[in-house]
Amino acid sequence: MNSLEVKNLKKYYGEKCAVSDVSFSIKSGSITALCGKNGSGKSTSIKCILNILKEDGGEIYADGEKWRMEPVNTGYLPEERGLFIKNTVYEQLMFFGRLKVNDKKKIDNAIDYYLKRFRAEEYKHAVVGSLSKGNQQKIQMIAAILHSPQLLVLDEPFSGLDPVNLNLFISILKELKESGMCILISSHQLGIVEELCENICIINCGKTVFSGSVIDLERKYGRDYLYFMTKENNADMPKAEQYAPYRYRIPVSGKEEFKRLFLSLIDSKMEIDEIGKHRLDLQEIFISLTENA
Amino acid sequence: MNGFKNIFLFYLKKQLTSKSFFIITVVLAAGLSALTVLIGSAGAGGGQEMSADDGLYILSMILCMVTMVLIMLYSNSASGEIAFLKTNRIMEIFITSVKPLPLYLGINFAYCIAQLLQVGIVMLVIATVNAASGSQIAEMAGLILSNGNLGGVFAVFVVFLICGYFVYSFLNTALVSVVGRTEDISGITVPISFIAMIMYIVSMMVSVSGDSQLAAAASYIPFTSPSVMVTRYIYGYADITQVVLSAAVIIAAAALIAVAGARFFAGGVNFYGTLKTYRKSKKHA
Repeated sequence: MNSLEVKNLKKYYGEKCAVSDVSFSIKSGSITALCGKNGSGKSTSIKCILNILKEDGGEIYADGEKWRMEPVNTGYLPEERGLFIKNTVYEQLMFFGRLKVNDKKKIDNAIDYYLKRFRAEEYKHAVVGSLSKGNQQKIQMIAAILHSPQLLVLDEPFSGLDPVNLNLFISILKELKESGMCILISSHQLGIVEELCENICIINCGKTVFSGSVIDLERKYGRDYLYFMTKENNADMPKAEQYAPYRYRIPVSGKEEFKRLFLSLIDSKMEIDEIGKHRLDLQEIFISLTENA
Repeated sequence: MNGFKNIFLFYLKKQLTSKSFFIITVVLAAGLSALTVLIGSAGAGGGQEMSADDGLYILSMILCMVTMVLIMLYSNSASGEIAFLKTNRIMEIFITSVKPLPLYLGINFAYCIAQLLQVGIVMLVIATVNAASGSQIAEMAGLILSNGNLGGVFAVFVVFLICGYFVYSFLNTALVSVVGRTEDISGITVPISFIAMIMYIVSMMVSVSGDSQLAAAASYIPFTSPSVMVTRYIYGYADITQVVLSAAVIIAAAALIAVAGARFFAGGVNFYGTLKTYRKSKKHA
């Protein structure tokens, strides 16, 4: 599969419209992020793609043809843990793997490979309930990719991971991307999204507010700021916005304005600890797009 | 087929290796072995001889009790498993891994086979213990039955146990598939359990007061026939033709419930709410 396109997706829960107009695309060999506030319709959109829910409107196409979710081609990591806590890791991975691909040897080899890759070989015969949250997340992830799906959908894959395992997940996702998989990630951790994803779709109140590449998003909505840090509580500068304790910023529209403000700050009587140029990151762009809706 | 086979084997293994399976098997085997040895020893002149009426009563009571307990236990276990899958979100992984029908059938068939294996093990233990102790229970049972056919009684018992289980289990698992919380299960399974209790009460009425029009009717209703028809057959109130007819009715009912239940299940597994809100959502669809 080279691409998956979602067009004007609509979904109602009774009379309540959870998703009114969501459109985005996922391409092979790239990672698309699906971001939105809590209750914006991300999980509902994902469930419509995975056939967990039946959409009430809109269309989903794979390579130009109507999309039919086939278990053998799809891998899914749900937001909440979905494991049998009384069974061992191996039993569970073998069970879920063979539901998709009825080749015991192939699944066996894949289990050994991914347990080693995720540094979880020692847990092969451990009962899942005895594992930590982060290790359960690893097992859940392995279950999702064991059968080498064409489409991989991950709902909050980084939750519960320590920094080391987070790095591990990121490197594995990059490998899976290089192998040609279509990957869709729903995550609130926008710092990671910025590092990992080529494309992004931001949903607000059930509608797409932006869909495209992360670079285009930053070009369109990113702004430059002059920022400075001072211990003095009253920043005696017009248009200075306090965005963190002792940290202030002023929007600038170009080099000349930045230079002028920079020099006026230096000439001011305030004791400045830090000063520089700063660009809105993805999190700040996301907040600006969704905060006031 | 692959999905059904994997799910069936997974759940069969899960049941057979569970603590509850072991405990119930031990309790049933020990309890019924002791009871039958006691009765069989009494028949060998070890004490006061039992009348045919008492013998028939004990036999029908044991079989009715076992039928009701096993049907309720395993059908509720199957529906409990569906509710567990949903509340733990494992259902979302299942739906993206396999179609709903293999899951519906796989779980129901696995619990049926587990139930039969349990009955088989218990019967084997009872037969072994009685043979080893010199008990005359089998001969006594053969004498008190009007047709003398103890093997036939057990065959009828097993057929109705299997069919009765499927009637209750297919219905329970289909209805429970819509719930999103374990506390909502009882709202569905308890009313169905009351029907099973009616089955037991009518069976006991046959044992105590003899045949009646109510019992005759109940022996053809799929929800009550599993033990009522077996009781009527034990007492000789129903002949083999009536048994076969009742079996055909319950098999047809189980098949119909399975077909309707599978369609309901396919929609229910994707729904998180209650039966009431499920009906509402279907109206808005």
